[in-house]
Order: sequence, then C-alpha cells, then structure tokens
Amino acid sequence: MSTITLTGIEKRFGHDVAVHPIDLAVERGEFFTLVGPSGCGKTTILRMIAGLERPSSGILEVNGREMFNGRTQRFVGPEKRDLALVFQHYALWPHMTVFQNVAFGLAGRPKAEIKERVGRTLEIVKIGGLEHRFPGELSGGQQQRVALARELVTEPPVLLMDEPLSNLDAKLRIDMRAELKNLHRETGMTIVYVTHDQIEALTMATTMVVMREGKIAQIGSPEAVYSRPASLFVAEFVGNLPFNRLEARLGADGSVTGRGFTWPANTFSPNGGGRDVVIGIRPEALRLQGSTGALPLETRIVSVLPAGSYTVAQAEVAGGERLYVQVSDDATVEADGALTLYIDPNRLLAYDPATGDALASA
Amino acid sequence: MTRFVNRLGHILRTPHLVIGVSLIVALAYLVLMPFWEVIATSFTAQRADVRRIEGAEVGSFTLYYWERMLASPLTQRGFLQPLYNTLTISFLYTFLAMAIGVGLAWLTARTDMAFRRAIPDLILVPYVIPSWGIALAWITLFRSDTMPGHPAGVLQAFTGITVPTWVVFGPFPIIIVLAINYFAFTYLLAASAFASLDASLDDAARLHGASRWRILRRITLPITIPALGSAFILTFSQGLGTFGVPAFLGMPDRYFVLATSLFFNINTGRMGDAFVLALFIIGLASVTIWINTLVLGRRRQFTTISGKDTRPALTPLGRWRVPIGLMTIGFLLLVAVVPLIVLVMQTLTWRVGNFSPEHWTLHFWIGREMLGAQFQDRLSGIFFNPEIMRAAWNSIKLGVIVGLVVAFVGQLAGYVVSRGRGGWIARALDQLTFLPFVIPSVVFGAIYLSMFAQPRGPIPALYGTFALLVVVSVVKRLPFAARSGTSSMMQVSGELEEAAVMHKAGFFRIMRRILFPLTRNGIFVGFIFGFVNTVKDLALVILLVTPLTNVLPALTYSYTERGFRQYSDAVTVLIVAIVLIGTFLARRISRTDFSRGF
Repeated sequence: MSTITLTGIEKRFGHDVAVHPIDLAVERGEFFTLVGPSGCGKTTILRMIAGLERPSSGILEVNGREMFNGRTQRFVGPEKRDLALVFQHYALWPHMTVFQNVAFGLAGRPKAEIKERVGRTLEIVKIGGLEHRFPGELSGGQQQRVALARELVTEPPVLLMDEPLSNLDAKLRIDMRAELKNLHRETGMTIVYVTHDQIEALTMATTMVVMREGKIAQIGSPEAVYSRPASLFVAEFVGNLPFNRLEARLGADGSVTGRGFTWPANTFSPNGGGRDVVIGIRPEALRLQGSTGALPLETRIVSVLPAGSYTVAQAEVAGGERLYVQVSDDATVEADGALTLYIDPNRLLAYDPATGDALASA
Repeated sequence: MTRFVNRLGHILRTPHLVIGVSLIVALAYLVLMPFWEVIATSFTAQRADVRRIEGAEVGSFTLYYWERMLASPLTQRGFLQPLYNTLTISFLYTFLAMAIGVGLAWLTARTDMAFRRAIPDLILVPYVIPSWGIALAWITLFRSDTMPGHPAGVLQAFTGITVPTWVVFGPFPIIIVLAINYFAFTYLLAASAFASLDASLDDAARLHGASRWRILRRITLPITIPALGSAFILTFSQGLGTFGVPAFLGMPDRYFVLATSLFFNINTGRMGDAFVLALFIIGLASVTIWINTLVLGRRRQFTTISGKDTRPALTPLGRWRVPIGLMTIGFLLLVAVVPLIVLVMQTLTWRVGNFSPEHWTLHFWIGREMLGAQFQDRLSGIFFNPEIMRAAWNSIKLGVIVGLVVAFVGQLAGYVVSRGRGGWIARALDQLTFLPFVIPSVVFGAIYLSMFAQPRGPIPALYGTFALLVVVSVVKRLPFAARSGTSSMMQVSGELEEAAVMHKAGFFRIMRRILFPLTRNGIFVGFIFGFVNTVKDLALVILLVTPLTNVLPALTYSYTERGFRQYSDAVTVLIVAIVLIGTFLARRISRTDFSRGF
C-alpha cells in the first residue's frame, strides 16, 4: 500500500496554476525525489503533503487517512499528519540551543527520556557535544545536521525534505548525500525529497519525478529518466554535461539524414518515419572507437576542455552543429583535428522538434 | 453542508484568520464607526441649534453646519483663516524640521563628523519633553512685563532684554517649537534613506571618474529623494491636526489653527461646526498620505535587514570635523536641556516673574496646604497635592496599560499582516490599523466624546471612565505599533513557525516559545513608544478626562488656563521625569536596543 497518495491534486494561487492536477503515489520505504527548475511546483507539492499549503482540489491521503478532499473540503492540519519536514533554510529557532531545538517535538515526555533521545539522535547525525550551542554559533553543515536531528528525534515514518542541501558548499553536499542515503537504508524511512539539483536526484532517489511548470514531465527510476528522457526538456535538465541535439530527417525506412551525415535504413524503427526529428545523444554515448553496428559521425574538433578526471571535447559536424563528447582519459584529442565518432544506435534518442516529446517509435 | 462545516472548521483552526477577523471587527467599531459618526453629526441638526435652523427638529438632516463653515459671514474667521494658518504653519515648520533633520542625518550618515556615533541616541533626548512643554518653556523664557498681563520671563529677568510679542505668541514660536519637536522624526526617516544607499553604487560611479558633486546629483539625490519627499509629507501631515503647541502659543493671541478652532467649537457646544472642521483635517491628512504613496511609488516601505555592511565613502569635513560635531551635540542638548531648566526655574519662584535666588522656594514641590487655598501659592506642593498625585498615578497607569496592550495588539496585527500576506484580511487590517494616523488626536477625542456619551448596544456609556482613555489611546497608538509589529514579524521567517507546527505545537505554544521571544525587541519598542506618547499626550485626552480620571497633561492645561504657572511647569517636569524613569526601567528590564527598533 502506498504511504502517500495524491489523486488529481491541484494548486491555484488566484488565477495562476502552481500545480496542475497530478496523481502521485509514494510507496513505503521509497526515497522519492521531486526535481525541477525553480517555479515548477515541486515545493508546493511537498508543502501540500505536509499540510502547510491547502490544495485547491483533489484528494490527498497519508498512511491511508484522507488528509484533504476537495469535494468535502475536509482538511487535516499539519500538526495531525505525523509527518516531519526538514526546511530549506533549516528553520532552526535562533533563540534556542541545539538541545532545545531538537527536544521541541518531545515536549511532555519524561526528562530522562528526552535527554537520552536527543543525545542519541545528535550522535546519529554526528554532532554529539554541541547540545548547548546556539544555531548562530554553528557552521552551515552543523546547522543542517541539527535540522535533520530535530526531525529524526521523533522517529517519524515519513520524512519530507525541502532542498535540504542547497545551502551547503559543494564538497559538504557530496558528503551529506552519502549520509542521507545511508540513513535511508538504515532506518527504512519513507523520504520525500525536493531538490532543483538533478545530481542529487540521480544519486539518492529510488524514484524521481521531473517537474516542469506545474506538471509531471517524467516519473521513473533515475536510470530510466537519465537514459530514456521522455522529452527534450528532461534530457537537457537531467545530466551534468550538455545534451547533444542534431536536426535530421527520419526516412520512411528508418534511415536518418542530417546535415553532413547519413545513417542507414532501420536505424530507427520505420513506423512513424518520413518526418523531421531532433536526434539526441548523451556526450558519453559518443565514442572514439567503433564497435559492430556503431554509427559513424565525421567531425572536426573545435576545442578541448580538460576537467581533471575526464576531458570534454567540442566537435563540429559538417553541417555546422556542435556536439560535446566525453573523452576517456587515456585517449588524446587535439583541437582542429578531424575525428570520427561512433554511436551505439541503442543509445540514440529521437524527439519531435515541435513538442519536444520523445518519439514512441524511437 | 459538510463542505461548509469543514471550510469553517479550517478557518477557525487558522489562528491568523481568527485574530485578523476579530481585530477587524473591533477596529471597525472603534475606528470606522466613529468616522461615520463624524460625517453623520456634521449633517444632523443638534439640539442647541434647532431654533436657528429653519424647519428642523433635533436629529433631522441639515446642511446648516457645512453652509455656515463654507459659505457664510463666519467662513472667513471660522474656517478660512484657521485653514490658512494651519497650512502656513505646517509648511514652514516642516521645512525647518527637514533642514535640521536631513542635515543631521547627512552629517551622521555620510560625513566623518566627530561624535557622530552618539547622535542616534542623543537625538531621542528632546523626544521625552512633550511638545507643549517646550511651548510652556518658550513662553517662560521670552515673555516680558511689557506684554499686557504677563510677568517678566527668564530672559528679561537675567538680561533685561525684551522681545516683541510676535516672538512669544503666534505663528513664529509655533513654527519653531513644532520644528524642535519634529526634527527627530525627519532625522529618523532621512537617516534610513541615507543608510539604505549601497556603497557599491557610489563606488561604481567613482570608478567611472564621477566627481563628488556629480555623485550627489546623479546618484545620491535621485535615490534618496522619494524617501526625503515622503519624510516631508509625513511630517507635514502631522502638523495638520497638531493641537498642544498652537493651544498654548496661539490661542492667547487669538491665533487659531484648525485643531484649536475645533477644540474651541466643542468647548462652546458647537459640535456640528467642530465636526465639519474635523472632516477637513482628516481629508487634508488623507490627501497628503495619498500623495505620499504616489511619491514612494511601488517601492516597498519595509526594507529587509541584510547582513551586508557596506559603508558608503564618507565626505571628509577636514578641520571642521570636531567643531561641527561639538555644535551638533550642543544643539541637541540645547533643545532638550534648556526648556527643562527654564521650567524648573519657574517652579522655584515664589512670585511669577521674580527669578532672583533669594526668593526661591520649594513650596510648589513639597509645600503643605495653607489657609485660604483659593490662591495657588497656598495649595500644597505637587507631591502633597491629592489632585496632582491622583493624576500622576492615572498617567502612569494609563501609560503602562496602553503600552502593554498596544505592544501586544500591534504584534498580533503584525502577525496577521505578515502571515496573511496578500489576502484581503491582511490588507484590510493593514489599512484599518493605519487609519488613526490620519485622524488627529483632538478629533479622536471629540469623536469619542460624542460617541461614548450614551450607551451603545452592549457597551455602556464610557464617558468619564478610565477605560475610555485606555481605548482611545490604544487606537491612536496602533498605527505605529502595528507597523513596528509587522516589520518585526516579517523578519521572522514563516518557516520557523511552520517547523513548530510540524512538531504539533499549538498556537499558544508557538506564540510563547517562538514568535514572542523572537520579536521581543519589537514588543518592547512598541511598549516604550506607547507608554511615552500616552503619558505626554494632551490633545487626545483633553476632551475626555473628568476630575476622577484626570491625567497630568490635561492638568497642566487647566493650571495654565487658571494662571497657576508654577504648577503647570512642575507638572510638566513631573511628566518628563515619569517618561525618563519609565523608559529607563523598561530598557533595564528588557535590555532592548532602542535605536534598532526603527
């Protein structure tokens, strides 16, 4: 059974639609990540789940209980939903010590128990010993851990997180990703995680939802979203290196003709042929050596951009379009040299140039 | 049905909606109703005038009062002249206050003047003296026995110099005294405008080779002019309804402004005329505030505090650095200390006008009642005078209660406005709490006098009760308290509250544990301003007090009218002492940083 179910949940602010009616189901134990550019509605969805925002219509259930119903206008407040939320800006109470912050949700329990649980939780997030500091006296990373401890201490079955790592510096962010992932594995909690950082989603999520302008652009495992993006938007949003596009004509026989390259029949499945397409290729799918069945592409190297552990080359096809190529470190490429690239046809993607949607036949 | 019940249930469980609606209902009753009352009264035949209005009965509709004020032989003296006087005084004192306030703000914010860090604290010192207290001191300092009915003043007694009557009474002293009273106000507005200038704008212009003059002309002025214009307008609007100073310095010379004219009408039972004038004052004030919003345009009135400390480059004053600093401090002490010294000197004289030390006495402070107490020198000194001690106790009680109520109501209103941002409840409350700003104190007093003279609905006749003084003072102080509450609540991120909600904290726990502790500074600033202004306020209560509920400022006024000069001055000094001690105690208890509240 799903832990959280959204059915036709919609959010309007006046005439602006922040979230179009959407359906989502979060399964127990998932690391469920909502990702998208700012303004895509991901945080609004999280806040509606938390109860901090009231949906305009639809039905929302948490742990089998109806929390919102647009038809009956039933609305259960956030304090009655048994959810925990880590805020983007930590939302630590600046006038309370770390201990008081973390103990806030334990009010009413015996003193000894509070002390024991706060101490234990601070150990889990590795900031034992900072109990009597004030938030203002802590580093950003430490504050982040306090915010996490404050939510973990009540041992919630579901933890909501709103861009929790966005205020940390790059190195700390990588450490925290690993820790959050471990925490998820060890506790078995259900986590709903909002981020604008697609790398965070790819590295941590079990299920990721890519959002755009209040709608779901794609939902699936990180591997599926990365390797088979459902639209040019998703393809370009997800992935560290720029996504390559080539304009081409898809023949009725499944052949592909672009400016400066021609690929044989049955490169794509022939149905739906006879149209203009945008060919999409991930930079790491462009290889310097060909294997059987690989499609060749004649290019000229425009510039070489070493990045330490790998090198990116910018290559120009005869038609003038430029592609990014991820070059493994043992190969060497030089600017202005001619270079033949090889593409595994299974990793070729094709999109409708007008809508940007993936072609079903591709 | 379920739908409706669920929706209602949700509203009832949303604290800022519940508080917002309650406050709106209360303010509609306390602000909008009186406002309506003024309009209605100005069109209604009053008992006293029925015989003079053709075919009218008590309570029937009439244009009599409007006609009399606007188109009758009385118009010139009863309306046009006071209007002209009001506008003249407001313009001139505002210019003067702006010159001083903006000058001081520029000196402290943009130059390297010596002692400039002390100015923000020192500037508040004159603020403890009520404006009419400075007026009393002015009279005591400059009057001379060459003026009919007046004894010698301090200046004449010590130097023999006499000044013409126009220096002591009439528009000239009113303008000067109001400017002294309001330059701190313009300073605070201008200082924040100068402080909001980002140094990088300055630096960018300098890197492009702009001269100081060009920077001032092209950058500093265009950026600060809306704020300075707004400071001008706000100061000007305060002059439109000002009562105390023109009452003491204008009425003896038959020089009337709208507010004193209104007071005069009410005292002589002409409510209809008074309320026509009241509507004009409110109208003028509203127009100025409307112009103010035009001047400020769409710029946000609250600037959020950023942690970035970029100080603009300071203009060096060279060898004038120290002399200008000393002159500035000297000026601030002069306007604060000299009036007090003059007032105290007069309380020590046995006979008014005789300042020679061998005739000094402490009688008016600690003397005991003598036989034949119809003369003021036979009454007890103020510390043994039951009338004064009762009024002092009333003033303290009123100040503390109003300060506490207004601080918390202001904070609650601020909570509603900041949390319900954009919603109609927040906007309506924001407007309603601001409305008393355009209703001058004496008008407020007049309205409440007529409105609460009889029982209204569930509310008994409040005239003559202490509660009425509390209510009217709280409402009048609300604009400032609500603004201060809003800005301090805005600085508390909504996430801090939401985090507590997620931990199942109820409204009262959130208030007690999170919001009030975090906005403590704003609460105490609200308290101190509520307290200080209430203890000093004459215009608001002058029409509402009775012997049992009398407060010190109203007592001063009646002593002045009776010619008991030593008593009125001693009571004024007592008010200053209460303000100072109250402020000091509040600061000690709260350890509030006063200057940061703005």
